[in-house]
Amino acid sequence: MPWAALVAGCAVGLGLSLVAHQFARPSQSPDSIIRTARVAFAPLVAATAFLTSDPHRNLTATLPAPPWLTTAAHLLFAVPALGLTAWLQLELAGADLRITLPPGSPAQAEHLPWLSLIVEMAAWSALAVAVAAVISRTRWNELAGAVAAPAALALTGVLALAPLGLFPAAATGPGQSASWPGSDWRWCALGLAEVLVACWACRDPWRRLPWRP
Amino acid sequence: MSADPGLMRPARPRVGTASAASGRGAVTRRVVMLAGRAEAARLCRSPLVLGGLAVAAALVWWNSRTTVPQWWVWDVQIGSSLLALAGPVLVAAQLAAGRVRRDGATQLYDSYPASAPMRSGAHLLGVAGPLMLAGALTGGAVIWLELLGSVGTARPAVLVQGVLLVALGGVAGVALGSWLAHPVAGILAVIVIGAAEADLLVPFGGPVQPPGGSAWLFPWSQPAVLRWLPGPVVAIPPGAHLAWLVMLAALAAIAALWRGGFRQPRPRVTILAALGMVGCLALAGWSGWAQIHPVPASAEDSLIYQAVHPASVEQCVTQVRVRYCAYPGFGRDVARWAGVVNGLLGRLPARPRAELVVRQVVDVNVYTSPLYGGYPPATASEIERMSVLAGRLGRFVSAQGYDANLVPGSSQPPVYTDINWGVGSLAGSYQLGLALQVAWWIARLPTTWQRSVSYSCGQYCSVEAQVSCLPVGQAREAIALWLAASATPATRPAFLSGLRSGAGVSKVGGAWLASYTGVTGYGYQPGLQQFTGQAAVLAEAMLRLPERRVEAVLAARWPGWLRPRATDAQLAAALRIPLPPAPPAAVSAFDRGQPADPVCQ
Repeated sequence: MPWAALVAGCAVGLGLSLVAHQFARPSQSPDSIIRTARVAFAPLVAATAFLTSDPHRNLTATLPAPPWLTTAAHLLFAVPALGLTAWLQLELAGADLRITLPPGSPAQAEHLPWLSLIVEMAAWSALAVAVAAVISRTRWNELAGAVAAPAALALTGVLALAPLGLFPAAATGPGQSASWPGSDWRWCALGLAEVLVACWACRDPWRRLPWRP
Repeated sequence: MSADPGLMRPARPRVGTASAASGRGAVTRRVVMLAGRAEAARLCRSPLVLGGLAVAAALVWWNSRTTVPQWWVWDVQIGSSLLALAGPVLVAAQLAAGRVRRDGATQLYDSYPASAPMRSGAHLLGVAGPLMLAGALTGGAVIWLELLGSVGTARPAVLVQGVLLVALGGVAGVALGSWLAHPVAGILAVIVIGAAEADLLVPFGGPVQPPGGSAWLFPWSQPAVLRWLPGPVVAIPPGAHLAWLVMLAALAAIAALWRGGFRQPRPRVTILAALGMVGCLALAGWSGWAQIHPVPASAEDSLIYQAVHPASVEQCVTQVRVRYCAYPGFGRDVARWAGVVNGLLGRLPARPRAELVVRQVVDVNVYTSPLYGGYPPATASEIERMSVLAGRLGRFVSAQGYDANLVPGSSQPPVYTDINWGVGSLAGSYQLGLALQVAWWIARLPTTWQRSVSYSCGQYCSVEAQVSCLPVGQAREAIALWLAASATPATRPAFLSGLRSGAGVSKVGGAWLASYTGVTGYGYQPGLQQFTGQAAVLAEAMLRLPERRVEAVLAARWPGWLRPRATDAQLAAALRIPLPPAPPAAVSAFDRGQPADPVCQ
């Protein structure tokens, strides 16, 4: 289990959120808070890219257990840690948002699009896992995480620049943008495709010697 | 064929111990050089580094495509673009330096003749590869920006700082890889530094706003005010920032070498490294203190003086009976302005007798952070001084919109252009802004507002409105618009595009009519020309006619068309076209409290 990468990623992500919370000011816009929350997800995504790595790959490939089990087990252990970190980050972002709202604002105004942001983060993480799983099938398998983390973040950056409406930057609460649900569905579709790619890439050991009776 | 890797020089006769030690030193240097060269080649071939280089080059191109580059902005901006290379170099160097430990091959490598400090030295030397790429990119960017006709002069000391950012990234990556071999370390370091830099480089500041000069303690910063300054400011970037970057890189290099020799401690080397680190820390402390030090009062005074006394600072040249006054360093812009002015004046049947002066002014109150310098201000007198300076500049910028006699030696009415000028897709917008003022000057219409009025728009609501005369129904208004739109090939589409963005409403007497206030959001902004929807549609119709026909009609009654008595209907009749109906004023935009504009006389 790549605990070092996971713990470091969660700690750095949480650290970024804490710094942003420490410096939060009433003049900050909700867009800026959401953007900061997204940036703070980046270390978590980078850590996720290392979840497919298995330093004992050549040994585990000889075991009777199916080859995808290692990655699945890593994910199983990692998801609670990632979820807890993301929840804390969103709590901090929500607190930042409350600072910006004028006193006496309605309760629903103090509300981040939690579900949408969680869906985004899950899709980015799935992208990192999918890229890492694909690279694990190549001769650069030992650097799968190191390649997949920047690649996944760069791809996410490209998606942000593309006119796909994947990153709504509208205000939250009563004035919540109508583009959020649309982006949620698009992220779900992308995430599903990435999960399928990851499953395909993890289905069998990579360097399997051809065995003929 | 020989198996000799070429590390050893030809054998010499042994003279003594000193000679043997010297020979060992030479071999060490040669090993480090050869390994460093190999590492440099690997770093230069890294897809990450090449991707970062491509992104940095793309950023230079992207950011230079719409405005004329100013060197006091762009020598800093090249450094900002090189951050896109410095990040990947950090990751790649960290991966390279951590290679041996990551592969679990430390003991194997320890059995080789090249020791761990030698390998660290080779990795540090390998940073020269990306450094050369950064130097080449900087050189290419300088040539590119010069070809675009940049204004001002590049400051080599600032350009060097940009290249040093890449060196710092590489050396920090080696240090990080020497101590933490896991690949996630470099990636997380880049994310953290990248988040801080993004926060600093976002115009007007990101969510976290570091106070005053402390932004320069991070590797790089780019104050947004740079592009509105009439010239370079000595304090941006601070002179000590060069030393700061060098010291940070030196500290990282010592940390990398120290880790390399950690497992085989040698007292002499350890003492030297410790002394070096103490020296670097002391110099870094000094340069850090110097960076957060307040901007010198003389620099602030000079900036404010330049901004509020343009007539005494600017250099004027006369071309084809038009006087162009520009801040020092903006000489190349004069030809750009002259292209617009000559294109417009060339369509007149006869030139006006008065001399036209096109003057450059600062139209933004640039006296904001980071010109405040160190934070918090040390004394109450500093706070008072800052507010006085900011107030002076603010009043000057505000007065540009109302005071036609603000700058001595200007035209009546004044024709101003600001510090920036557009190219590419924004060329038309900037040209149209200047052409409209020149056309208003020809038509003897005011280019400034009469006054500003504040009125209530409901409970807890107040609106600031500018009162300016409107030449309702006067032919000179449509003629001025036609002249401005015909000044250059780019002004016509900019004008038509501005009209499509929709009209506002104005109240003249008791009647509401459709009007426009400035059809371009770029260039000089105070005192934007206001014109009626009727004139806009008539000018649009004139643009559809052959130019010679319009020019002939204007020449037949020039300068009579410029008199307030000449009407739109008369002009349309002379052009033998029906007067287009004025666009209706949008009822939803009516604001009962809005003050009425007078008719221009």
